[in-house]
Amino acid sequence: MNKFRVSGFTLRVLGSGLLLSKHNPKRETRNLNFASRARRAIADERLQGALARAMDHFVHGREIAFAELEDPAALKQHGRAIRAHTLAHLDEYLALLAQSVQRHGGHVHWARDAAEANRIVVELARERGIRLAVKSKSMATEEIYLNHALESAGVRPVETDLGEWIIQLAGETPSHIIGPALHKTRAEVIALFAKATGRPVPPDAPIPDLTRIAREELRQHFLAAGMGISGVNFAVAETGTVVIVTNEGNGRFATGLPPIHVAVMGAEKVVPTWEDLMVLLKLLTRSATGQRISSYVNCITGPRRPNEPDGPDEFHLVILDNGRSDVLGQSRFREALYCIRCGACLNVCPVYRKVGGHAYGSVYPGPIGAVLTPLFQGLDKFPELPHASSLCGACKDACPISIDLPRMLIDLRQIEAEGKPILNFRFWILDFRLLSTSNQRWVERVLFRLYGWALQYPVLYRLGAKVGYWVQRPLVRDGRIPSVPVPPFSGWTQFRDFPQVAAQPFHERWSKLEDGEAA
Amino acid sequence: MRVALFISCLADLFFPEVGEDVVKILRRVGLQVTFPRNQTCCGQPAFNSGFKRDARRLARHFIQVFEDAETIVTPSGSCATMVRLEYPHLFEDDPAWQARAQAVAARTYEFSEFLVRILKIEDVGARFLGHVTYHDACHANRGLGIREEPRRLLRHVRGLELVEMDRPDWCCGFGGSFSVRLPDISGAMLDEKLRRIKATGVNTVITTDAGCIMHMAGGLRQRGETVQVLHLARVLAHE
Repeated sequence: MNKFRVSGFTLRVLGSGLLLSKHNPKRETRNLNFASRARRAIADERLQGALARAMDHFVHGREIAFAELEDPAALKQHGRAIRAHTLAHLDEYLALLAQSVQRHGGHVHWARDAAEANRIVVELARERGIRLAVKSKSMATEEIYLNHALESAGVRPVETDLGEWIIQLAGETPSHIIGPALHKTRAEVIALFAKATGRPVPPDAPIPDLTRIAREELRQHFLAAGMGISGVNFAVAETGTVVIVTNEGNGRFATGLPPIHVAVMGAEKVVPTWEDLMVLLKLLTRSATGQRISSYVNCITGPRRPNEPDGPDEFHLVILDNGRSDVLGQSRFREALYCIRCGACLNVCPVYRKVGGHAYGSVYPGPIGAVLTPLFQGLDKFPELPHASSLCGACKDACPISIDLPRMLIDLRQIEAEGKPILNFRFWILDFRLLSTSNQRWVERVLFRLYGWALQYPVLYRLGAKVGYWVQRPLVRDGRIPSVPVPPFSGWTQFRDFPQVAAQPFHERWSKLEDGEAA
Repeated sequence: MRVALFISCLADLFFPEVGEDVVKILRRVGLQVTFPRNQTCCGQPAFNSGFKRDARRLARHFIQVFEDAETIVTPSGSCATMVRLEYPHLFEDDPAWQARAQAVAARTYEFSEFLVRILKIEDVGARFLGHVTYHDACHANRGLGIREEPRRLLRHVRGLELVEMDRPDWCCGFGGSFSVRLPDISGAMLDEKLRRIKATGVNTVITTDAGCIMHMAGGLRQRGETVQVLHLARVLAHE
């Protein structure tokens, strides 16, 4: 009996493992923390090459696109002012947007969270007996795992953006906001396409052949789909127009052909006017892909009118909160909502460049992800993400809206470091707190408390310098300190020599220098 | 003009000769240098790790020590950034201390910035034979906009040739506690930085921050490379 139970348990574990790896190979990395996923990515030479090539390409493109502008700083400032104004009056602009959409015959749905948004889309499909939906690339639907919800309800979602289709076939999540499949090699894509089409694809098939396969395969789905689902890059409040920026034309196909178009937008994506849209659009395409304008900018205002030859019969806009109003209420994090999802901060981030998108363990990677994910999903679930930055500031510089990501990362670190106190008592210089489970950093906390206290006293600082010098002496080998076996210093000496404390620090040398001045 | 030197804890403990050279250069251009003896650390390590209360404690100490100085100069871009940009924020809820912080912040300069922007001096009469490359320390560069100042100073050094590396403004991976919290990522960033340095073929890297020096020099030594990393002041003091 016992044996049976044990083997039954083993079987179940094995079974679920197989199931997971079949449908979502990335799931297995879920159990790892950020540091381990990062280590794995760094060891993956192929990924390192792909990341460096893609990042260099994006960074270079953006630099050229901004260099040709007369006054890029002024444009960025204008964009930021628009976002700040919009978010300060978000309720009014969303109400206006909803009114405008309805005026043009569209329907508006408000979704408080992911579950509600998914339920709305699933219901729309179920009521109409729809079994197949085509999708244009959308981070909002990735955020709520809409595909999963549709599949569970018996609706097959087919991604039609080439990159998104590739990762859907692979059962993965996007690794970059703009280039979701940039971690995939041609060989991997060939294997995925062969499996998806059930036809052999030559191992040396050139890229144009691969895109042709995708077009042929996806065309059938466009024609058969009962529903088109898209994201929203911007929604213009004054006219109720939904704007979708793409380079492949799949966005136009997916939203124009099926009888019903459902657009899912993060509530912060509203812009007041068309003039505002022009400013943000300019910033978006230049920042994202280095283009003056993308190949397609779809501006969709309501469903097909009676006198129009094509377009969907129904248009539905799902406006998603999912944590956004919480962020809006926190003044020090509000500007995280200014983000227009261009991905420029990912491209310049030296950490993202090394670890790639999947290491972040959530839909939004890179510096903006390290801020948004803990805000949307809870810092206790993602305590490591705010530390995934050397605070070099490249993200803030590259951001077309100049979002102060480093400052927000430090603010999140502060919340994470200080935890939520449940019980507080002080003894001497230390104050002890019983902290909520989110806080695992008590050793560090004690060290920083000691450091902050001791270094107020120059005597202790100088004593520390002396002690440091004597403690270090036995570690010196041939004038170097190649290894210190105590954390956190061992982390340092893993990749670099430790510097030697001077026998005579500057503060001891000063009196001699001072004499020099007198002479 | 009297200038108070804030040496920064890292330079004080690990690179005291940088302080000596800064004093030498400032005196060479005719300034009087003081060294407030009670200075310790600006508090940046605690601040960057999220321990703002501890950072505030050290910020108050710094302000008390330097409040009477008419001008404060430091050979560290990140400490200058901390004092100039972060101190006023640290005391957002404390108007009295915030006013004091702002007053000190307004008189604090990074060394190369002080020479070029304030004193308008680009030639300090230095001589240094060899090819060098310059690494933009992140805080000096993006925090204080210091890009041209160190390069102008270097271009006036006799015998020195500046060879730019690819993307000199990419972080070396130091990031304070980041370097020990996520050593693998920090190490991978360092690898890339060192590759870019090696590609220039020079044997000297110049920068303006003790943190970057520690990190790049430590990495080079562990890899058995002979390239040296020097603070800008060390080159400018060379006659």
